Amino acid sequence: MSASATLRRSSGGRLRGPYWTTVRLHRAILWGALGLVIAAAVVAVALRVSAVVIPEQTDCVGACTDTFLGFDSARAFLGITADYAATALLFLPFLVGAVVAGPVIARELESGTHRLAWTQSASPARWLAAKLTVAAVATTALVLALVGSYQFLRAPVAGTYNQRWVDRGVFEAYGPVLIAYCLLAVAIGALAGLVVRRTLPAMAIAGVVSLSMILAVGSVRWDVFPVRTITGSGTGRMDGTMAIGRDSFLMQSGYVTASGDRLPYNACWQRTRDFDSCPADLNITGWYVDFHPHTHFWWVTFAETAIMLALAAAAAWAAFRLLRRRTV
Amino acid sequence: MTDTAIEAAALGKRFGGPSRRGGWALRDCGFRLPAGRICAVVGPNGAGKSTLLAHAAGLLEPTEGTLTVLGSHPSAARERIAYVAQDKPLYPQLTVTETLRLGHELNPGRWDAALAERIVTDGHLDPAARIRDLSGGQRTRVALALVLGKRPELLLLDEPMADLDPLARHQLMGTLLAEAAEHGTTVVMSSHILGELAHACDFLLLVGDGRIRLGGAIDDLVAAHRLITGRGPLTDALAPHTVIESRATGRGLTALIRPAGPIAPGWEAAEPSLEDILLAHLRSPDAPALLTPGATARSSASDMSAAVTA
Repeated sequence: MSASATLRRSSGGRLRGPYWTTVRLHRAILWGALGLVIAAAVVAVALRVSAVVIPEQTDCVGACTDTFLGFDSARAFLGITADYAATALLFLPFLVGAVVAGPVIARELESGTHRLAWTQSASPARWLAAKLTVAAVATTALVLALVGSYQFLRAPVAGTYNQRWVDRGVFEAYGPVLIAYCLLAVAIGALAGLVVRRTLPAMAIAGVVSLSMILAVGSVRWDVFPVRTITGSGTGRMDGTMAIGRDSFLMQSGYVTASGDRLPYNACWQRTRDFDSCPADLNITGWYVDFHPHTHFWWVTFAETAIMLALAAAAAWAAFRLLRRRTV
Repeated sequence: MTDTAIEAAALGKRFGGPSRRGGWALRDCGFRLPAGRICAVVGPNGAGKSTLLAHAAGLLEPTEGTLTVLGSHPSAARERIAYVAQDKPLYPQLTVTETLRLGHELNPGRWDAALAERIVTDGHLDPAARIRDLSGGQRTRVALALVLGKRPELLLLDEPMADLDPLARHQLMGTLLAEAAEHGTTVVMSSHILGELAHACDFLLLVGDGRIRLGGAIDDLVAAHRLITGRGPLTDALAPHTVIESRATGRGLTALIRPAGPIAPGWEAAEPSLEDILLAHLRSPDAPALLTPGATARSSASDMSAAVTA
């Protein structure tokens, strides 16, 4: 039988070459990821079912007694869990970066098995490509599954306090943005693993760098993206803040003076202790409201995803460059 | 197909970057290993044997000079080279069977599953045993099965037999040499135990202090040396020859020389053993290097750089 026939016969949709090797070597990690997905799905379904089956008490006299695991109600517990879940999802890049940097890449260099892997017919570049591909596919699947569970969990409380589309964690957890950060973490992990070559330091560095990316950008996201502004004459600032709609994200509002300067929202309150009742000497001629309409969600999602994927590509390119220099 | 397995020219490797002084593991290292040879790379610990083999395996980039393998850059010859590092790296979480499957997956079209399985079976290894549960000798056997299954043209083994008991060593060496003979494989084995490889090999590279101190077919190297014994004025007898080592013995004086003419009358000349030659060179680090014509790098620098860019 010819070599190609052997290949065709035994391929049959199964994993081949470095891909088989990578999946087999990191089987435990992949099972762990599956376990995480199942646990998240079980929690989400259990809470959704509980929220329906165990109704809220509405006819209490005074404070209602705790009815669900020490919480007001199953729905209240669901809401709190959804809040924490949004925060927890922000730590996924930490997890992904640390796992790729340590067990997947640096451990090979630390234990010397890279000298086995890099002297096979499949080149070191294919070794790295297989690791990156398997990690990227597994990460995307993991994030999609967790995001799916999260969205299912939060559906009853979507749009409430802490669960608006602009909120930290919630914005990322719609999907694309979190996937992009986690793919960036894969590339950062590969680069850190190749640079540091020791398992634990590589995990720490890649985890912290990946996490600080998503936390830092999340802190400035809505300040960096240009706001939409509405203005009006007079002192009807409160009407303006109402006019932008419940679905918009109010950034800043205040007054405009005759000279065109902006005064803060509380400029009149400080003087008159009455909202939008302004002393004449302030020369207020109008008001302004800076806000992000819901359409900005899509623009920011698109821009942030694109930037993080570009950074991921750059880090992956650097990892290949480093590997090439390392191995002749 | 080239007739040269490995060729090094002015090869140098410095670890730790240029800022650190010294640190040259290899320096000005040049030699040629003809294809089809069974070559022993010997030398004391830290001489540069492992660094040399790692270069040939394509795992290290030279700091200076060049090294070609099977006529091309090591990275271009990856399919035709097999390498076992000194600590026999294997994935501890894989079973023996999975390790051989890895060899198959990563060397498609070359893999000889029957041979690899036979080597493992000869050692009575449980195919379902995990690598982490194997003894050092059993791991060596799996590592050798992995490289022989690849059917390489050049087999690089760094201290291959150190972990094996004498019986397994004899048996595995037999398998190795039979495979090499059948397929014309060039084998390079390093060892700091001089006697370990002497009988199996027909070519020798003695590495010392990062350089090649002796290189050539073992027969040629032996023929280039004489062990002379006698009494009398030392300088007269040895004058024209290169003296590697001389020392007083019970009967007078014994010296290992590279003769450069007829040996003075009254001196008894004998063919030294390979061990005599190696020990004399190890005891005399300042003895001049000797590369037989067949072991001297032939390519000019420009040829070598062409091979690198190709």
